[in-house]
Amino acid sequence: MKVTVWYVVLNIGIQTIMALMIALMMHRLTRSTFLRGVVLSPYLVSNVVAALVWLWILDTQLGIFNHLLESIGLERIGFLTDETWAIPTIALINVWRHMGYTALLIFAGLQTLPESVYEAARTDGAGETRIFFSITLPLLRPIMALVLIMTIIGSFQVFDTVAVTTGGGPANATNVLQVYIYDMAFGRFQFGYASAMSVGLLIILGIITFIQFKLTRAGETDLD
Amino acid sequence: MAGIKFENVVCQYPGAERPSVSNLNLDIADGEFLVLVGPSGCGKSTTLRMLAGLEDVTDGSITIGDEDVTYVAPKDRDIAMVFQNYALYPHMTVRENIAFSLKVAKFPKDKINRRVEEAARLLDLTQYLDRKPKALSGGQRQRVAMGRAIVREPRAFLMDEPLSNLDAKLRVQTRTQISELTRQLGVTTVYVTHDQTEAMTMGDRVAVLKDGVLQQVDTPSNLYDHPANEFVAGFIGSPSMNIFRCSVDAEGARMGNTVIPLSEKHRAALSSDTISVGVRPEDVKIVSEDQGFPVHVDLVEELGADAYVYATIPRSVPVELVQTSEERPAQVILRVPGRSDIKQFDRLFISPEGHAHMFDVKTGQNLDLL
Repeated sequence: MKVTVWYVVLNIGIQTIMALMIALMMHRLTRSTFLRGVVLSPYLVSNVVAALVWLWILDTQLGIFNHLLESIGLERIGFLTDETWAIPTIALINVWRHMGYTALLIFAGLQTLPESVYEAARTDGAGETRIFFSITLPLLRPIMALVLIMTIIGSFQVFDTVAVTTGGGPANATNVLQVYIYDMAFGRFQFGYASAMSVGLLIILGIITFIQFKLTRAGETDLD
Repeated sequence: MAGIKFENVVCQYPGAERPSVSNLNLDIADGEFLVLVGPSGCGKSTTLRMLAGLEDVTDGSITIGDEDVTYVAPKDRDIAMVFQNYALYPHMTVRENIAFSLKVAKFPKDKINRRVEEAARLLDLTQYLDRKPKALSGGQRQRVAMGRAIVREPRAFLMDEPLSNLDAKLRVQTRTQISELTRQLGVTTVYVTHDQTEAMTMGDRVAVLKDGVLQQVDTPSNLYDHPANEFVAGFIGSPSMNIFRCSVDAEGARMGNTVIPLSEKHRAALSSDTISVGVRPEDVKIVSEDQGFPVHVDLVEELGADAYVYATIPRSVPVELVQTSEERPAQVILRVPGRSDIKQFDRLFISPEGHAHMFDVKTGQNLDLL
């Protein structure tokens, strides 16, 4: 459970901020549908394929990434074999795959915000940072809530990336809930225990979603 | 507080054939209420948005006070704007909406509160301070937008058709409130509207624009009595002026059996042997059959004290009517006393009496002002 929560925190934190930044850049700088397509493209890759590709790229001995690290004078890192690195690495792989999709959701939300409110804020003397925190973020609240609820549920269900890259190792460092449940059920054939954990996870996710929904008032928008 | 000056200002959108605003020169005095008026697409909103910094100036310069603001960001111009759709911050309460600009300017809390309360009292918003814009009526939202503008004590107010989303009764009421408020505060105000009644009733001076070109800037009464050209004559006044096109002979402008004598000056300024004669509805009189020219009554509009008669000129009469607006067929409008016995399909003889405005047919210029 601790491993899973650490994964969720890393994944959600980085993914949301990255996606928000990409969405803002798409909104402000370009109207190109091609670029929007490029941003979305990692999402088209299957989880297993993405995991395999990154597994090779990040391999301690053969991986091109470690080769690059070494060529700029850094030490090789066992991204998926080191206990401290494994979870952040898996989190980042999933961030890479999902952030385009999340960015697109936020981007769609940005486009619904009325231009005149921004003009009002600018004539009221607000600078860009101020506008972002006082206008954009509060008005994006329902979209951000949706994004958070969806991504948190998705992160708790992480399985395939872990199963392909580390299989729960090293030394249980990446033994996330779904992997653990799978191992219980199909490795040790303790179906009762595994089923109970699955139902438990369902209830936990239900509660988390409900709390999020209430806290963010996701069901109501300030826009008319 | 400060005066505003436009010098040869041009705004041309990329890819547009002609500039939205071309060569605008306008001098607005400190504390003056200036109304920009014109039909839609005439560049009045663009002018205001350039002044606010929301639109780029292609050429020329804009000064507020003594400071050239042509390339200054909107946030540094110290002006307040009221938008057509109010553009209130939907996620903030009325209090936060009004206080936002002061908060941005880092005013101390007690000062912000004092100013907000004061503005709310002035606009009758005190009881709504903790509501969100969603829970307000159109009129109340409009007042919040006003509150947001006045609380800053800016150098100038810019208002972009602030009354167009209100119903007719509220519009008249709010019109008076805005006039009073801005004069009480003594802040320079630039007000954009397409409604000439609003322009005439509110402005110290009115600037009439058409196709991005300034036609005339003057006091409302001067615009009404001495329009610079045919367009201003037709645009200002409700119902609008009748503009007749008729031939000129040795005696003067011939309108049926009535001849309007022309001065030497008028004749010298004319560029052809026809002339446009503008006559306000109140200056058209019904005359006996041997004078003026005949018209057929299409409609009589009873307003109580007055009635307006809408009539067409038969083809046999060598007087043509200029269509002043695309929304309205070419009809002669005359004002008659209320409860008149004129009916539809009547035949009347009319003739201009009182003030007639002479315009050149080609240039549209008022011959009196040349």
